[in-house]
Amino acid sequence: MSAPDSLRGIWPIAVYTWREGIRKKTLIGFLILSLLVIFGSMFMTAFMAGIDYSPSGEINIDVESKLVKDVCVSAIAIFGVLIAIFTSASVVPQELENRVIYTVLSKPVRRYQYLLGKFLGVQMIVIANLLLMSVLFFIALWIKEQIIPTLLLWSTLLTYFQFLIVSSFTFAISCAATSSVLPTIAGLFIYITGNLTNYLNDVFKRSSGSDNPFESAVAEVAFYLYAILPNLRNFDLKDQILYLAPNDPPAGILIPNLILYGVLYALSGYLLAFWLFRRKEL
Amino acid sequence: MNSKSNALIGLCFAAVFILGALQGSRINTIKKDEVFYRWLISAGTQIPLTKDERIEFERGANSGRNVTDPMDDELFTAIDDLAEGYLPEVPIDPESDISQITGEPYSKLIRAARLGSAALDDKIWEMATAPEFAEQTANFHTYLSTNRLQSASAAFSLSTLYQGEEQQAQGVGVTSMFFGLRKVAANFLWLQVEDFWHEGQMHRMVPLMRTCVALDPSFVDAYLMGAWHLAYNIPAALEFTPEELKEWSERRQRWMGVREHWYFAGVDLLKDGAWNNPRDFRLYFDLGYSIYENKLEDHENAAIYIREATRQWHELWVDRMYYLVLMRNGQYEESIEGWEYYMHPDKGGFPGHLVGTRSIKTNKAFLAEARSEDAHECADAARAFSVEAAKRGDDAEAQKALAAAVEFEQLAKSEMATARTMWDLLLGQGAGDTLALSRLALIDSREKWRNGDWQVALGDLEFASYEAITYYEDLSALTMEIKLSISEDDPGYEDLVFTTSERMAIERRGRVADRKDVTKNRIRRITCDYIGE
Repeated sequence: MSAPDSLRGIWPIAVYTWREGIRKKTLIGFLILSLLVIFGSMFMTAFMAGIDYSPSGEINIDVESKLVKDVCVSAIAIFGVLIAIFTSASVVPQELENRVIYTVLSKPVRRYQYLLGKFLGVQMIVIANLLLMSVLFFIALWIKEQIIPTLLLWSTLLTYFQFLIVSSFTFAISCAATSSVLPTIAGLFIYITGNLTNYLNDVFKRSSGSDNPFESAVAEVAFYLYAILPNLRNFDLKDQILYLAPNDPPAGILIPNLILYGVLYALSGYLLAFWLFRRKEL
Repeated sequence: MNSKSNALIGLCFAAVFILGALQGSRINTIKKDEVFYRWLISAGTQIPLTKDERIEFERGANSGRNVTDPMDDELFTAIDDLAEGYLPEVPIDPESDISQITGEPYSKLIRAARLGSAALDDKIWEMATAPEFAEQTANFHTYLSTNRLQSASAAFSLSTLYQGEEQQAQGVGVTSMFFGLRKVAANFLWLQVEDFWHEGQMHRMVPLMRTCVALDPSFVDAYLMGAWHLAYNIPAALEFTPEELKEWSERRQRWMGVREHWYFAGVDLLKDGAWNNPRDFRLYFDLGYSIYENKLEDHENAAIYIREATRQWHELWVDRMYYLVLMRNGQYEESIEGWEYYMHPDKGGFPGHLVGTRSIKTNKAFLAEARSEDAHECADAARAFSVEAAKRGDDAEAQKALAAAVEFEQLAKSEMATARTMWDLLLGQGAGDTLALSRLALIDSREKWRNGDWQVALGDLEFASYEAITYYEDLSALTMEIKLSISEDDPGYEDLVFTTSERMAIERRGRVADRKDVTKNRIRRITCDYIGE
């Protein structure tokens, strides 16, 4: 089978996964909720009516747009990751459940083609949802400030790579599972753990050098876990992009590095999925 | 074959996962450099300000963090010295790059940090990661982790936030900080602060405001509004502390009452904000104008901070307020220069700007008054010296001093005439210009008092204080000065009457007569050998 032939089967599976995914009620529900939060953020500032004066003036206007930005960025991150987790966790187990996978794999489609198609389909759903939420965020910001900060595009991009890591490992677990419940829980766990990785460093700093052997052992474990687990907090750079001056050398260096970081962990997640899927008895 | 492929895929997974971990380690290194870079920018803008303010380095003094043997100054000086050879030439802005203490230009690093240009920021970033600075970088991180940097804020590490949590982030659980939602938590806490403000529960606002900025150190509006509450709204509900009950604060170099404590709480909050957001002009402006100028009447420090606001990207009104504060601080020459620049057509200014035109005249009048006052002092001193010399029998010196006294008196008169012309001009241009009216009354009274006609002088002052409230303090001070200078031997002494408020003021002065003097150095335009510096 030549290279183009090997890729030929992937695209229809990706498109099929995308079509199926966007019809899911859970995802539509999440999307509607996120849109409500994004638009709702514009009205949250209604609570702030009253103080309109400070020595430098126009304070409330700045706080309002800050609130809109913070709430929208957080809403995109939370609902986006939920969409990524639920989609990644369900695409393979659902096909096992309704036995569609057997029909597909009985065709001249290799397992890696099927898996890559599914993974691409999931990413298309995640990207489409992210884009939709971002566009609405831009509109909300435009209504509030009449500006569209182009730096927000970088922020959106980094958010996607955060989703990519969570999504790829959730997808890997879903390849070993028979239902979508376990991978969904695992996906949430990955997201939570990924955000708590910094705490492992704190545990290491506090426990290292202790005379207590148990504490020393905990410090060792925490250190190694901190060193190898993906740290999703690294992507918090999106906040800096939102609020720092356009010229910020560390952000300029970090963005490509974070993209590479996301790609490497996502690739490892996909390889794990492939390894697990190959071993699966079908 | 199948197991071999499985092993190969497993191996690939492990290899890519480890590469990801290595990339993570690289990101951690970049983030550590970033912390150092941001400290350099903050320290480069804040340390010179602290020095110009002539106070001890005090960041974190209220945070509850106990920093023993702080290394901030030492570390920054070491880096500053090395940076001189590393950084390219940085232009010196004569307006704002000259130290108030030494009169010398600030170092290259300070100038570069304050300038905020893209090229220089890139260079500072390069510096933060350069091997030449490896020792300083390592020292920085050692001091940071061993709690020896007073300037290290909660923004640098979550660990420091936990350490200061009991003091700083009261009422906030660690869970609020999960999943990158700290900023959202800060926003909702801010809404709560506003609720408390409307409900009048000010005592509950303060810990929440501190929490807000601890959770989101880039929340500039929270610093601004928080400082406004601290320095304006909370003290408004408090009584003034009588002078004699105020306590001396070594840290603030000031006599402190209850209200002053709140003013300085606002100062601390804004300074903290400036450390975390060194490029935001609003923090410097509010610090300088809203608190130092309007609340503490500390024109010198007000000028220092508003000058810093003008150094950062700022709106045009900041320049105008800066020139106003310069005038209030007695820096008339600088204020005139500033206004001329502001109105210069070739420099993109606003020719014929009404406030500018008036302010230049006002400054010129004040300058002439100040020069006249200096000349008067020199004349008085020369005359006194002449009497002393005559007593010693040194007639030559006595004559010389007397001649100098006459010269100084002439100079004083001519300067006062200039001032009078300027005020007259302003009075003529703006009908009912109360400032000009009050200053003219002040000049007249002073002259009449000098000529021994103190009763008319007091009459003029009384008239002026009703007509022109602008400089009421000056008018009132001169009234007291004249009344207190009258002795029983002076003609008309029996007509001298002290009002109740004047008697109370004299009593108050008596009660605080032994107080430590906090008057700032006066700018002297005319110097003479008969008066020491």
